[in-house]
Amino acid sequence: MSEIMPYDLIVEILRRLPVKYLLRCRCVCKLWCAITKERSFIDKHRTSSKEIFVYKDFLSYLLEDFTKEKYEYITTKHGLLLKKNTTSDTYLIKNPSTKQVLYLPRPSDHDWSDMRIIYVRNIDTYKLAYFYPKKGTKEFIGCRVLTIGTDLNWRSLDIPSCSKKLGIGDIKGDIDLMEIDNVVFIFRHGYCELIRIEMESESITTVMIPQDLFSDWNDVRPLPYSDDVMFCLAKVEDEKINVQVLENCKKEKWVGEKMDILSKSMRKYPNMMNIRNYHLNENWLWIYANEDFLYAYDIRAKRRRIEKSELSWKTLVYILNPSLERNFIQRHMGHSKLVKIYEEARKTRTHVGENYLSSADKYKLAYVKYNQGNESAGVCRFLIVGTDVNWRSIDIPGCTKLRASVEKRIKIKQIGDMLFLFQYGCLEIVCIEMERQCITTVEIPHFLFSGWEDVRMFCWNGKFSLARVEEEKLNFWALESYKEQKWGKRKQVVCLDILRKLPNSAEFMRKYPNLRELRYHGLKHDWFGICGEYGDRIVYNVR
Amino acid sequence: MASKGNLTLKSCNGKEFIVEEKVAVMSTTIKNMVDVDDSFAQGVIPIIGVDGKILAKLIEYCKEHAEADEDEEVKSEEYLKKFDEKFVDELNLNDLYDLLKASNYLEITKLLNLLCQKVASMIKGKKPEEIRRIFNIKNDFTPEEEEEINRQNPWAF
Repeated sequence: MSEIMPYDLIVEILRRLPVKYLLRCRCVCKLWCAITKERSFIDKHRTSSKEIFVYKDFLSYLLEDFTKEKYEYITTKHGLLLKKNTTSDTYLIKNPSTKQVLYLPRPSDHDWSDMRIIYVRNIDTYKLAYFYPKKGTKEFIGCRVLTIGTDLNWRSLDIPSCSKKLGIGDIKGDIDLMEIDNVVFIFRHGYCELIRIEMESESITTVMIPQDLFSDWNDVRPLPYSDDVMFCLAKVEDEKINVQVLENCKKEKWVGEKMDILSKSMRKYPNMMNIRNYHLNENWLWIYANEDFLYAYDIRAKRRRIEKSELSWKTLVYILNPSLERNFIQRHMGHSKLVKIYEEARKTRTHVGENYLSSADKYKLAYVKYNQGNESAGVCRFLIVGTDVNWRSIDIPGCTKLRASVEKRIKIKQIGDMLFLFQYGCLEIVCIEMERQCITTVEIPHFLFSGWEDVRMFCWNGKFSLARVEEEKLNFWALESYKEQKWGKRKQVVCLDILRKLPNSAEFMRKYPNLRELRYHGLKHDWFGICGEYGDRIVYNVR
Repeated sequence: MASKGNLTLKSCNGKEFIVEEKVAVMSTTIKNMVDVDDSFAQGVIPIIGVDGKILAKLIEYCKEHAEADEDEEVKSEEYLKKFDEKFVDELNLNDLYDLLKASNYLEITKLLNLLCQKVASMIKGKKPEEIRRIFNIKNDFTPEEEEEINRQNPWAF
């Protein structure tokens, strides 16, 4: 394909790809990368994709995964899953498509709580709302809010308590929460006041509910209506759902309607005549009848999707669409204490490694503390973000194979799960496996280079390599296997010659007549990049 | 001059095709032209930027699908599926690209979907450098930037 493809065609093609391949496509070029990060593309991709993630678990809401830790699924939004680790009492948001995890600060403990992820389109931000009962009562609830990805602490919102009753006798004190677009409604059974929290400005208003909306207020539940844009109260009456839609919040105007979506299917399945319960999750209406029948109705597509006649109580609840939601970068979140530790670690100029533990669905931090001028390299400290409060330390063995002139400088490089420590003047490389927290020492054969000044390390095709410029050539050796202490064959890049021939290299070469003065060079696949001291850069394709 | 119920389409290199109206209006663009202005239905409709070879391909596709839409019994869903598969498999890369552009311009939704799906399946499982080669895309990342993207989602590579 010789010409540049039009923008809208690229979008049409890319939106048909699963998340995994889209993440890979981000590497193709800057335009493709930008497209996959656009809000309109993310929405389009999520809603049109055929990939679906199904989350197991039902009544118990508890699931034991292979790490023996228990998780409770709380809510979903746009393909993001909020869950609670009940073993460590921490909350986290996971994007199963991109495998990203974000740990949240603990909102404090309550015997009852509810959480909602709200997307505020105007400011393109996700917020998290946490609801809990105020002390000593059931009817009065408190609310805390946090902006996902930036806030380290929760903010408290002041929710007015309710006073006017609907006059229906006993008040059980049940509370229903309903999110509609960027607004959360709090419906307190038996009370006239509907609380409305607008999440962009985090302002709270009260809407009065007229007494005569329903003749019988038992089993009245809130529902989203008409593509999730309006709030309504609903009740199953005569095989239909009787809905009262809140058309205008300011004027407190309610409009009644009967939704007929149930009657047909109820006739088809006689055991559904007695609807026990129903709830909404995104645009799915889940209906339970007679404790042994479950069915899901897609409100938007107006059709039934899932039916299950013999419901075992350990079946699915959540259906997630794949999501490209932007990167939640771990270091901006987590306990404030952890962030402090992290910052300290950075300040001491020790290397901080980060590793995503896919098996445990956690992030691990590691940093190396070493003593200048001392034979022992120091210690490596590990910590699992969100679970560990203290660091775990492992001693790094001191160097035994020293060359005559030792520079005693340690450089650290992270490649995937591995941290490599290379001490200038030392004929050993310390390899630290972050996941297993084990240390291996690999000997550097003395014949690798004719001299040891300016030996540098970098990543060649995912492997740790040592390189040095010798006789106008860049020689480098890749560590094929650190476990077997096996080094690959010597590879050479005829660098100086090539650099001289490059059209724009004249000035570069004048500045750095000898490549040894160059601060940095890196290799990635076929590309060889060199950086000068002042940020000059030359990139060369080896092939 | 096309007879009643037929339209004449003219490619950018001057080739003319007489097609049934029901075939031509599979393209939303042509449908709009005919609906808005009667003179198009009488005269020749120029198809800008699409050459004879590609236009013939487009017409071949639209013919099959228009006939199938009219009479489901003659051309079953299964038959169409096989036709679609064969249709895209026989395209070389350049024709695929030209067809993509043409079906996008002419708004032939069904064909556009089919071709986009084909291209998407070509991307699946390929490495970034292979994708660049297929689509003739220049890598405008520095090695450091590329490594940074790799690092964000190492599992995807």
